[in-house]
Amino acid sequence: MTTKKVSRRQVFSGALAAGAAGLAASAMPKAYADHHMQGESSLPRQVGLPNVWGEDFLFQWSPPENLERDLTPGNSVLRLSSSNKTLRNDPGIDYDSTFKEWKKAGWTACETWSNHWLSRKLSDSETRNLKQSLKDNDMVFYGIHAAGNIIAPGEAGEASRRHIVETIHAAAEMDCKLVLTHAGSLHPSRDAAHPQNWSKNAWEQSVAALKSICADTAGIDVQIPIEAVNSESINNPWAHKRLIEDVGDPRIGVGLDVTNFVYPGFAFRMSELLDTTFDLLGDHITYVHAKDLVWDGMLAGLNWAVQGTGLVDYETMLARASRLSGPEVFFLIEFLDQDEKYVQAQSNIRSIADNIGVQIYGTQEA
Amino acid sequence: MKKIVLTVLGFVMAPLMAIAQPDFSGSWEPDTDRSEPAPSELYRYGHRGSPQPVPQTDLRVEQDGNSVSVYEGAIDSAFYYNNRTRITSRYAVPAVYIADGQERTVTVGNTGLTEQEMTTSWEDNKLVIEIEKPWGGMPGNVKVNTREEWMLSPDGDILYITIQHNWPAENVAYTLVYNRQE
Repeated sequence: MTTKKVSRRQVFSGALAAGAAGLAASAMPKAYADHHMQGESSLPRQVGLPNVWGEDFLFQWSPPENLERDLTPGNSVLRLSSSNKTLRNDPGIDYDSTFKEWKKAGWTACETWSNHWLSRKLSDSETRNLKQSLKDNDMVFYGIHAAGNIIAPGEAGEASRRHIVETIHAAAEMDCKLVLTHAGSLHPSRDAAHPQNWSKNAWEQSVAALKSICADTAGIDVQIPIEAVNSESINNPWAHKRLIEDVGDPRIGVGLDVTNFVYPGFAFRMSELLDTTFDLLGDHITYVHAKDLVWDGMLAGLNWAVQGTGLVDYETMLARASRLSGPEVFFLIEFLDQDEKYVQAQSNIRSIADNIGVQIYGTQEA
Repeated sequence: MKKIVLTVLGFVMAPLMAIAQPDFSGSWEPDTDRSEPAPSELYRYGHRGSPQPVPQTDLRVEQDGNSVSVYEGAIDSAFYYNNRTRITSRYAVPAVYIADGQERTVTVGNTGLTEQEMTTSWEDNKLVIEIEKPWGGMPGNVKVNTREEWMLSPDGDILYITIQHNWPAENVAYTLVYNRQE
């Protein structure tokens, strides 16, 4: 995929393949053995992208020269939703008019927040009306984003786990495909990092919490994608893969938000990070968050940007998402501070998709 | 007879003078009072509140026939983010335009990671630069088409650059004004 110098590791690897196949793993240099085992095992043993500039060069933050990207479009159709068009359940909402307006603006799918959705239970007639309006307007209510922090200390963690179980039941009642949740933080606030978030203890707590949620919702056909976030116990695609294996329930998947993986070392290697993520997680990816970022400050310095104008390689992201096996992939555009930016972001994404032959459902009329 | 020759010469020379290529060589200082703000921050930042205009820098232009090299002054970012633009005397690598109407594929200067298509030509007394490039110069960015028209005042002391950005979300046009230094 990239043009780069042959490293000593690769030379060694070639020599092994040529004639030293019987060499015992215990006799290998540790770095080689780790790399080798990573290749043979289904489970990642290292976090990070491959070196670009040779083993001896200090920095690996700049992308490879002449990076070749596979932008072949797939057959999946993308449906766009917007975080400024979340579904509400207040009394008296005219869903039919709401969905007509959203669809005219190019939004053909929607989600909601668990705190809001669970704050009021719809009556049977309201539920029927909502489902009929969704169907009449070809709008997909695909999921609920669950609040809470499942490994928060004390009662808050248990309350969050119960909240997510209730959310999964509520999602099933609405025929939603998924409930998005998080692996959590040992800090009471999910978005605040805790120094022990990447300890074995935090890992085991996240796995145990998710197993408990799965056990309490066994038999319910709702996917439970996890959204990795920099500040939480799961914050990269390699850990995501391990988490899926460790929890061991087929409903545990990935709510992919690649910007949540980004630290400065990845910031200019987004094409590779996206490819690696899709290679590692593939059809575990249940749906995708579309955000963008720029690096324009001193302290890590990452700021949100309108989609398509920053560091995220949207061509690679859209092409890879369209090659997932499902007939439809849901894309949530979020983290913008003005309504007009959502319009611009959608225009950008549709234009980029069109240029590479990726299909996005619906049209953006207004 | 003399009057007739001059009249004939006038008819012959007038169109030639009209299409003579202007010479943009020299140092140019932004006239911020008469320039329109370049509104690109609105498009760039997703979570930053009110848009800030992009600061206008000074220019140094070296022109040799159809070859036009443009050096833009650097911006001190610390001052920029305090909303107080400071132009320094540092210059980046020049942008070089060859006004021969040929389309060229060149590396995007600000990142070195992607390519842009660029055509430069003369239209009447204007230098016209047309560029199609990924917005931020990164792989996978949305494409933006930019057309710049460079024109001098009759006395050659004022430089007008009219810029049109066309991208999927919107079309934006604005004019930057510079005064000749020296």
